[in-house]
Amino acid sequence: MGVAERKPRSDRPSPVEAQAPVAFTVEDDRVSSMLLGRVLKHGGFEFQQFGNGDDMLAALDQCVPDVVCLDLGLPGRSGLEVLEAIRAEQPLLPVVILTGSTEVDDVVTAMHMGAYDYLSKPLDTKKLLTTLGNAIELGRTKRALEHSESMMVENAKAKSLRVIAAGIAHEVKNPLAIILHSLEYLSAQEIAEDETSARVLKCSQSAVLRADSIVRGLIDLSSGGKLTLEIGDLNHVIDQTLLLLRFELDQGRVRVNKQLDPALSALPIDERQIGQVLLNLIMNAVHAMPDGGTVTITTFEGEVSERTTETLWPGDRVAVIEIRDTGSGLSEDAIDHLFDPFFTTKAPGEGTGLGLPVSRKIIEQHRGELQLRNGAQGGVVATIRLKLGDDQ
Amino acid sequence: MSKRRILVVDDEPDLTLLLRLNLERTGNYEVREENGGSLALPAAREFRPDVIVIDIMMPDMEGTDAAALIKDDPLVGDTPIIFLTAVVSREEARQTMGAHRIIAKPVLMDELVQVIEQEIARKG
Repeated sequence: MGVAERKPRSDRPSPVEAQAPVAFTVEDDRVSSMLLGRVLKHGGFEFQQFGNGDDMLAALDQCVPDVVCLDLGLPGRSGLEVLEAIRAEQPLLPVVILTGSTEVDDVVTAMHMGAYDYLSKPLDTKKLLTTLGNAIELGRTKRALEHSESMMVENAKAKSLRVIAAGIAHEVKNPLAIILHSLEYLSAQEIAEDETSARVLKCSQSAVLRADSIVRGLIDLSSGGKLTLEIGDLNHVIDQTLLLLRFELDQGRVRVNKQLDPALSALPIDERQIGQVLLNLIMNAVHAMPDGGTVTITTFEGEVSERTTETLWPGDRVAVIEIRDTGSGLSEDAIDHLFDPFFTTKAPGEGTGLGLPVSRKIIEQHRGELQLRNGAQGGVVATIRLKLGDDQ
Repeated sequence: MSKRRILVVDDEPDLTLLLRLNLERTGNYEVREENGGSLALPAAREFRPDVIVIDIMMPDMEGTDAAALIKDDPLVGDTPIIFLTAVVSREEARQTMGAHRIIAKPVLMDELVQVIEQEIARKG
């Protein structure tokens, strides 16, 4: 039984814990099945009944119940084989064995294979409901435990990544500094009077700065990154960022079309970090238009209509920033990988592949969301949505 | 005008050598190198620098601790200090460095010179 092969439970719809418990029953005898159904209904269960194991296993792919009642003497695939398949697929799903008096050896085997308990037919109604209730309770406890274990693993991973990134920063940045200062020293010497040598020195220097920007990006991506939140005005941050980028915009022959909502509510933000995100997104737009073009920056307030992330819910009021370019848009492959660290569509040396993952992290820390898509009129549309408080 | 005196403190001798060479080639600075945090205060008292450029993470004594000792010294307490750091968490920098300037390694010489001049001007 390979735990690694198991599909994550969260991939499939499963009954909400507060609702009625859900049971699957596998029983080939119609009368027994009907009686079982009656007891389950009486006990407040929702249930699906199957006459053989294969049908139940197929249904298990669509929905995971809280408990399975499994008859051992089944036609086709035997009860033990079905149990084995359930254990492989859903190791935390409790299985209660229903058995006739002739199947003692099989019952022992089933218990060894991890069945929760067994009940002999004819079934005692009260005992059946109690056993199922206990089995469900155990299953839920196991799932909660597994969830908190996986959260602990994730936290530990994030923590060790931070430690590694800080270590890399220190160990790599000192040598980078030494190389950079050496190149700067040589650039002031006679050797740099030769045009080719001067160019070689310049190439080395920009390579060092590139390596440095990757290390910085890694640190930004891995750091716990506490935000300094103050009530701020997004329109103001946009104006400040555009001021910083005047040179790049001019040089890229990029026109800026601002459509900022003057009535946009102020909200708690870390202006420097949001500025960093805007800078990344606007520079992406500039790079996406090598022959020049227009960046349209729009702000407005709106309401979330559908749930697309963990943080925003339908009905939430949000401040929205949209940044559109008039470039050639993104390929489907690019859209799938935009937020993967080190993925870049830019020319070698132009992008670190960390701008978007870092930007998304910053926005998520603000309990907002960042999305990129191709616009209806071409180009890329980057959308930032930040939740507005209830009093705004 | 006489040359400005800069005390450069970092545990990497290669780095202090290159900072010295690059600052001296401008013709405006006289530079003294030290390779440990604990050497910063005695060197400052002896050399009487206009500005101290000091690394933060050093094995014998952290640059921040060395700076605190310097700040409490009656002779050199008002010397402007510029921190160099290889770990670039801006958040940390804001919290721990108080009024001092902090620069992430690697820094371009032009930028370092600019900050040194600003600090000298600020002290007046």
